[in-house]
Amino acid sequence: MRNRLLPLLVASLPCLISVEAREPVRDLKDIQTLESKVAAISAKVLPATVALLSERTGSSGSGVIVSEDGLVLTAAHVIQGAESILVVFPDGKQVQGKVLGANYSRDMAMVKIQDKGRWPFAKTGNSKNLDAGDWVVALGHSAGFDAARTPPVRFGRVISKGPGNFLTTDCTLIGGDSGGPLFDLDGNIVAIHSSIGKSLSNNNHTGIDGFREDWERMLAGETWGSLSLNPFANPEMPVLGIGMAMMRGVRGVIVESVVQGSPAAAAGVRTGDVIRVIDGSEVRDGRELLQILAKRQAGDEVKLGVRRDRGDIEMKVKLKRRSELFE
Amino acid sequence: MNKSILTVFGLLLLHGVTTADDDIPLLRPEERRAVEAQTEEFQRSIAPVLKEAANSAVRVWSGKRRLAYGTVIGDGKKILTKWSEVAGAGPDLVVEGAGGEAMPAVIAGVYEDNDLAILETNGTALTPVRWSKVVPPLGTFLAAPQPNGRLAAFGVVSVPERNLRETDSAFLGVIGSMDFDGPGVRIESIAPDSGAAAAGLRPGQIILKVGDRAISGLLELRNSLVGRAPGSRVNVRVKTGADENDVEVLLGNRPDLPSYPGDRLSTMERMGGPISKVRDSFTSAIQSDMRPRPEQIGGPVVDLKGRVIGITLARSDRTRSFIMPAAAVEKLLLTAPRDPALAKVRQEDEMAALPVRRAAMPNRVPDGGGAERLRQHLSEMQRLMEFMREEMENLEPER
Repeated sequence: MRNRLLPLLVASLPCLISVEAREPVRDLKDIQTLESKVAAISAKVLPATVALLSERTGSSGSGVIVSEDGLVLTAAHVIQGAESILVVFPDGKQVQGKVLGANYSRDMAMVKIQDKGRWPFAKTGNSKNLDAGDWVVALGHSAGFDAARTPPVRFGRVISKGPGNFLTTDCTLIGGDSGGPLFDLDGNIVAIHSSIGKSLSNNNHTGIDGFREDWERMLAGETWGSLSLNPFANPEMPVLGIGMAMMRGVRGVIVESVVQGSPAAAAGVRTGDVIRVIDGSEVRDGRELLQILAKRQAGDEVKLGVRRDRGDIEMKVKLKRRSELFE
Repeated sequence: MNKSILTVFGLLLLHGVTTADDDIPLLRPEERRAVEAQTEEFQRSIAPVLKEAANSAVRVWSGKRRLAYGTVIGDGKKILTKWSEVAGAGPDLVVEGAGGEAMPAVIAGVYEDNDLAILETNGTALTPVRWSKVVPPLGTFLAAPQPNGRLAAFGVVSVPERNLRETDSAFLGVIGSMDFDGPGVRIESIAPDSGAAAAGLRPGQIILKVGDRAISGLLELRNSLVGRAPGSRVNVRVKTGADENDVEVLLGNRPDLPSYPGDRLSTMERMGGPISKVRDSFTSAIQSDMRPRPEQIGGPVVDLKGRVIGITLARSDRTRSFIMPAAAVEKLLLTAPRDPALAKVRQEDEMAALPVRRAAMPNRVPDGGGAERLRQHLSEMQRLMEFMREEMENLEPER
């Protein structure tokens, strides 16, 4: 067993080092340090992790308070169809919340507690700089509010980034956790729970940076976007604006067409070009190209390595939202 | 596509969950490598705390079938294990110790309430476990060893110790009105023979306080009873018209009402692998996010100092496992177990007894024949490899 795993360990040494730079677990002492952080965060953020119940739709999700006057961040599908929502604290105390705005494409929404008070709240952090291997802590009212227990704490790490503003962790989630907070080891909110796949390592969260970008619009009560569990159909998906073709024996993605006014057109990509490298990673086929793009966001600049007329050229492309191009 | 959103609906929704692809669609090779290396590093670093407890962990077999783990207690010839997993075993029940020695065993006693059984062996004495009195707080790291000293499961304290048996919780006997906005709870009806009935509470009255605590609504009313014992008395501030007065109520036991998780939630509970047959209603349980497999239940659980803080009771669902704290185990062991000939296995819910429904076909739009088929094959192979990797990780020697 050990022997078989050893080569894998050696092969991944460069990655290991980058992980270690963040939060190493080289020995028991490192794990103990990790534990003390997780325990401290859990106790601190628990009072700000609320359940959101809609009497109208009969749904039950979670949310997290981010300001003393009771602004709550949650997932858009939690407040879907509701104008007001019951905000329930871990100790059962319940107050009324007003649904503000939502961006369904990013599964983000805001709720404001209507009662006056000084509410427990958590601070927001950053999500864009998260990477596979970063430790995170998840809370949420799993399976709905349960008066007999506090919202369960789960510990894990980022497994994969994307699509777009989303990220995937191995903090196991279940129905009712939706809208609940994901924290980094400083106790800052880095994402909000959104969906799960079958694998225990497939728990998806919408990044806090997306909230920051859409903050004012949501606060003002604006609702937009569409909920899509298919990342490639998501209106926020970053695109180059090309049609792709594949040919046996050709490594890379053949540009079959270029959409007018697209980022690819602006950068000078032409029909017949073969995209072989994106940001230093080799691209073997269209699927891989989409996979890499899904980890970027609209507004990001990517570097394309393109084969044209037996020569290699490099181009910089600033990505746009799918909806900017195809609507 | 292959995901499921996480709100819980009170209604039974029969659609909306597809559990087709279980791979992570955007996982890049470099991400997979980083995470795998980290897992390996973590398992190596935590190994020292497992060592002592692993000596008291055993595997329980029925012939060639792995049933459960067990924890060595008493004189080293008694094993505590999970009753529902060993109940159906024949005369070929075998206990395998940390050193690989196999000993025939018989079921000597059963604690039905917590789904535990005591096995007795007549072989050499194994190392009995040393229980710790430590009560691990929220967020504490917990680890369950395999008998060979490797890590079986890791998790944190998700929820500190509590009693999961509904009938042990205090019951007021008030059914609140759903269409009352508060503050307080308007009484819709009173449960017959309840403390509320005996105290003379009536429909239409508004409950403002329980003890010293102001009640904002139904959920807080329920929460205000947590930590109060059936049989104890509590003052309830009641408003009748414009009058307010205190009424003393003798709390009863919550009646045993079956609850169904709903089809949608029930599907999610099973997303991520097999779960224990008996997985709820334990009288003393720490909730953890650790992920032992059902046949790894019954062994010791340690903290980062290697202290045995309890034993695993069940893998309950995708997000939960339950651990019985050491103090509760010790207390239980002072009571007389039931004769296994008379003991029953709890039938928890009919849902669990049913075969898991086949997942809906992926609702993917077919696009481009051959390429799509190839993509599908690749994704299936990836899934297979994932499965094999998991199996390898949990690899335990065949006997």
